[in-house]
Amino acid sequence: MKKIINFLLTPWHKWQAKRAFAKRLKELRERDPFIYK
Amino acid sequence: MISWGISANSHDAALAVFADEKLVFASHSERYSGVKNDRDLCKGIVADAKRFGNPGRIYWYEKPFKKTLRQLFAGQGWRRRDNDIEIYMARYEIDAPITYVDHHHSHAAVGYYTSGFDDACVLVIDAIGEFETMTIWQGKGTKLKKLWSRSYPHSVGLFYSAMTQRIGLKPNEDEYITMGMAAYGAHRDYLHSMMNDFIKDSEEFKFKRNLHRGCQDWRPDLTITDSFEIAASTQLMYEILFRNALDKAKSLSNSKNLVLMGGCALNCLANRFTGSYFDKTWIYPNPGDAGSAIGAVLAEHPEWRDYTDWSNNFLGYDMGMRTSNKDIVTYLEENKICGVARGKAEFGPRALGNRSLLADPRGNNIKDQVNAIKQRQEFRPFAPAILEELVHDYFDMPDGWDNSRYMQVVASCRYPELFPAIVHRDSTSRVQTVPNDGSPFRQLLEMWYARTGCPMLLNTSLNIKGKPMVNNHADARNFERHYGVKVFN
Repeated sequence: MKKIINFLLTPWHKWQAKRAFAKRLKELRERDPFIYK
Repeated sequence: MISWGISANSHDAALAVFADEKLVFASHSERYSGVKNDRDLCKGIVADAKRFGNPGRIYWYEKPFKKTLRQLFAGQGWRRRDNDIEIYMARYEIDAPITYVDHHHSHAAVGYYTSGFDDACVLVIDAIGEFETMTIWQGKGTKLKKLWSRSYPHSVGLFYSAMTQRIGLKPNEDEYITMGMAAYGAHRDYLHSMMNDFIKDSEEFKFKRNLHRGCQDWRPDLTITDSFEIAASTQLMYEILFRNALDKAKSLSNSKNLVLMGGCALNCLANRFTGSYFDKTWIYPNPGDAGSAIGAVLAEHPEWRDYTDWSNNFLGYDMGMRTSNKDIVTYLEENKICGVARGKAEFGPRALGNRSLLADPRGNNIKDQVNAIKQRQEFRPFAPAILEELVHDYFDMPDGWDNSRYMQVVASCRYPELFPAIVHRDSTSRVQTVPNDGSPFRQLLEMWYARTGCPMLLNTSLNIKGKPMVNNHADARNFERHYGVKVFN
């Protein structure tokens, strides 16, 4: 049952991971320590 | 055909318009957006440029793919999409073929092709181009040939910016404040320490560490109270490196003329040394990245230099002229301070008389009065604008500099006690000499001289604190309302 639920939720997990990565990248860019971009 | 030269997507965006072969417009994006040193173009400047028609070709001031590679090498990630200029221009609904020019080539081109020299050594020093940080070129006729270059991470410009950040100022923007602070420090205190910690080879401009991420961790024992000392040592360190660069340029080129370009060419304190190495020096009035908007076009079409009059730098928005010089001088005599916003805006960081706050430079309290408006740091002086033929009576110009029409070099004032508002602590001034070219500002200065016997005026940029210079009538009205100072059009 758990496996079926996980399988069904795969796109959701993928989307979540993608969103987290984009958020992290945005944070990194905002805290960009480089003087000259 | 309409051609656009663009420098944007980094810092201090600018746009230049060539109608056929002639330059008809050039301005900074910040003047239209109201964001100081705006990194992007804005709708206002694009609309103003479109008055001349849609562009048939765009010339971009650097090569985006090389820049992307450098950013990857520097650890800034893969920014291919950020550097896609076709996508960038689509934001402004511009769709035209794009020609890309090397960053330092754009710098060298605008310097050399506007210099009037047929033979010159071109020295470009900035923070970073795509990879290059310092280059030396030989200009002959319409040809520019690269003789030498130094590449990232070794960069004199980055060193200066990193130090600017270390003393609590904004890198890539406040370097001029660092330069102004230098006169208040004792030079040698931290120079030795800087030499040891940063410089690997001062004659080859190699550094021990990459200063792209700044040097906030350098000498944590030094606090904010040491800022003036650090600034003085930084300036001296820069001057040592700059003189080495002039030496290298001289050894590689047999020319007697020097063209100096790149953001570091704005260091008017160090520029006084060029006369010791070369007979004549030319610095384009906008030597930083913004000026490369013109350079990108000239690099591809050197022959177009002959179609434009390069004797002044008034290329921006035209406000027209309503008030006579007589009214302005009369007002100045009575009130000591007034603003002038008329004609075409200057293309460059300096106000040269068309977007200026003018004041009577005599007397002890004028600096405080102007500072009450400008709200600048108290230690920073203002610049004088003087009739060119009288400059030697009041200032000792450095070797090789007969004039300084774009405030590019400092000169020692002979009577610092008479003009305290325009003299720095070391008795120098970043002087603007106004040639006898019949311009409205020249006529104003002549009338001021005839009435008062004083051949100079205090001249500082007309802007609200933290904002770019006034560009149009609305900006001028805002300035008037904000500070209660009369602005003449």
